[in-house]
Amino acid sequence: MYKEKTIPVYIKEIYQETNDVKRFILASVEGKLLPRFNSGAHIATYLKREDGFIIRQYSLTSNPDKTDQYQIAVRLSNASKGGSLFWHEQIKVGDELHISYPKNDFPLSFKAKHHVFYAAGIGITPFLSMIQELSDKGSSFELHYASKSKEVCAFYDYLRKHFSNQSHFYFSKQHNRVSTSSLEKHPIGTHIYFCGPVSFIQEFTEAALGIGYPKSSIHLEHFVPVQPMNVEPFQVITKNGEVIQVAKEQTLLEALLHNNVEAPYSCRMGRCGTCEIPVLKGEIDHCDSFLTEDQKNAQRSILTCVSRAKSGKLVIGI
Amino acid sequence: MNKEAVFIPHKRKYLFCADQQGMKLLSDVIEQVKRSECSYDLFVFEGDPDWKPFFNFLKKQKMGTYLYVALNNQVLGHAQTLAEEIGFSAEEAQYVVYGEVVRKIFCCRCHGINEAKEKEIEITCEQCGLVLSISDHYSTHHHAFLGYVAKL
Repeated sequence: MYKEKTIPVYIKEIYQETNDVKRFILASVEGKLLPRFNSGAHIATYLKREDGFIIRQYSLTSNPDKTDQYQIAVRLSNASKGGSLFWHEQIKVGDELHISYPKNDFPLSFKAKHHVFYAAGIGITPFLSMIQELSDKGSSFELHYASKSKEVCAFYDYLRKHFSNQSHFYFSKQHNRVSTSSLEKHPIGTHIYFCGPVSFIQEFTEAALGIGYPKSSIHLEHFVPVQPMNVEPFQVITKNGEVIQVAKEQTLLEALLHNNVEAPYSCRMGRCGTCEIPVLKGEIDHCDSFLTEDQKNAQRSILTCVSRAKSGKLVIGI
Repeated sequence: MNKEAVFIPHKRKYLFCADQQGMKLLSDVIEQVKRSECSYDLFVFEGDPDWKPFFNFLKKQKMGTYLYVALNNQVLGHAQTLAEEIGFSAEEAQYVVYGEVVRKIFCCRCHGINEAKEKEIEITCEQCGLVLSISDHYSTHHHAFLGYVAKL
C-alpha cells in the first residue's frame, strides 16, 4: 500500500486521563528529536494490523517547544471503527508505530488581538498547544470548554492548575451549557476558534456570522469529516482504464491507496485540498470543507478523502 | 482608502466617524443603516482631531461592529493606523477620503517613503534619487504603494 513519509516512534508512557480518554507519550525509536511543530498541529498515526494499517489523525497536545516527545490524547469512541478501540485496548508501553510529520490546518491567527477558544468534549485537544504558546508569549486568550461533567472533562485538572484565569467550564449534567450569547461579548480584534462535534461547530459558526464576525476571524476544526446522507458503494475508473471498487465502509482515497494508486493526500478530513483530483464523468457527493460552492457545483474535481459518488460510477483523471 | 462608502449588511452595529465634510460622504450609508433598523453610533471630529477620545471610542467596541471613517487625506491615515492597532481588520472597516489625495510611495531601493499626488505615475525618490514607477500594489505593512525601478 502507498504511504506518505513517516517517522518511527514508540509508546513511552500511557496515562488514563478520564474513563474514556487516554494520553499517549510518543518518542523517536532512533532517540532523535522529533520535528518541531506549530501549535494546533496534528499527526497521522499508522497502526499496523494484519489486514493493513489503521490511520487516524490526532492533535499534538504537548508543548510545541518540547520535541523530545509528542503527546496525543485519544477518546474511546462509541462508534469506533477500530482506531480509538485499538489505541485503548491494544496499544501498550514499548509498542512501535509510524507517525506522519506534523501538519497544521488549524494555526493561530497572527493578526488577532485576543483569541477565544470554544471546545466541546475531546475538541479540547488542539487548543492545549495553542494556549500554551499564547501563554508563553504573554498573549491574551480565553477558553470556553463544554463537557458532560467534571469527571469526563479531559485535562480539567491541568487547565485549572495552569490556566484557571482564562478557562471557563460548562458541565451539561449541572445544567450549565455553553451559549452562543458569549460571542457577543468579545472585544474587537478577537479571533474565535471552534473544535468539537459538527452540530456544535455549525451552531457557533452560524451565530458568529449572524452577529457580524468576518469569516476571516472564525477558525474551526472538525474532528470527524461531514458524513454524506447515504453512504453507498461505488466504482471509479482511472485514466488507464482500471476499475476500482469503493466499498461502503471505505473512502475513495483508501480504495485508491489499497490498489497502489499514488493518490496525493494529507489531512484525510476534507480540509486541506491535497487529495483533490479531476473528475471527468459522473456525479459527485461533496463532503469537504475545502472547495467553494461554485467549485462543488462545477462537478469537475473530488476530494478523495471524504467525498463520494452520487452516481454509481466516476471516471477520474488520475 | 476609498472615495465613497459602500453599505455592508449583516452587522450588529455600525460606527460612523467623520468630521462635518466626511459625514456628508457617509450620509447615504447612514440612511441605509437607519432603514435597516440596525444599531449605530456617530463620532464627530471637530477642528483638529483629538485622537484619544477616538481611540477610547473604538477600543470599547465588540465583535460584529463595522467601522466607517471619513476624513481628509492628512489625517485619515492616522485614524486607520489607530483602528488597525485596536483590531479592526480590512473586513471590518472602510476609510473614505476627501480633498486632494496624496499617496505614500515606498522606494524599492532605499525603503524611504515619498509622497505622490493622485495622478502621478512616476516620481523621483527624495532619499536616493531613483526614478520610481508607482505600482497599484499597496503594502499594508508600510501603508504605502510600492515604487519600482522606472529608470536606472
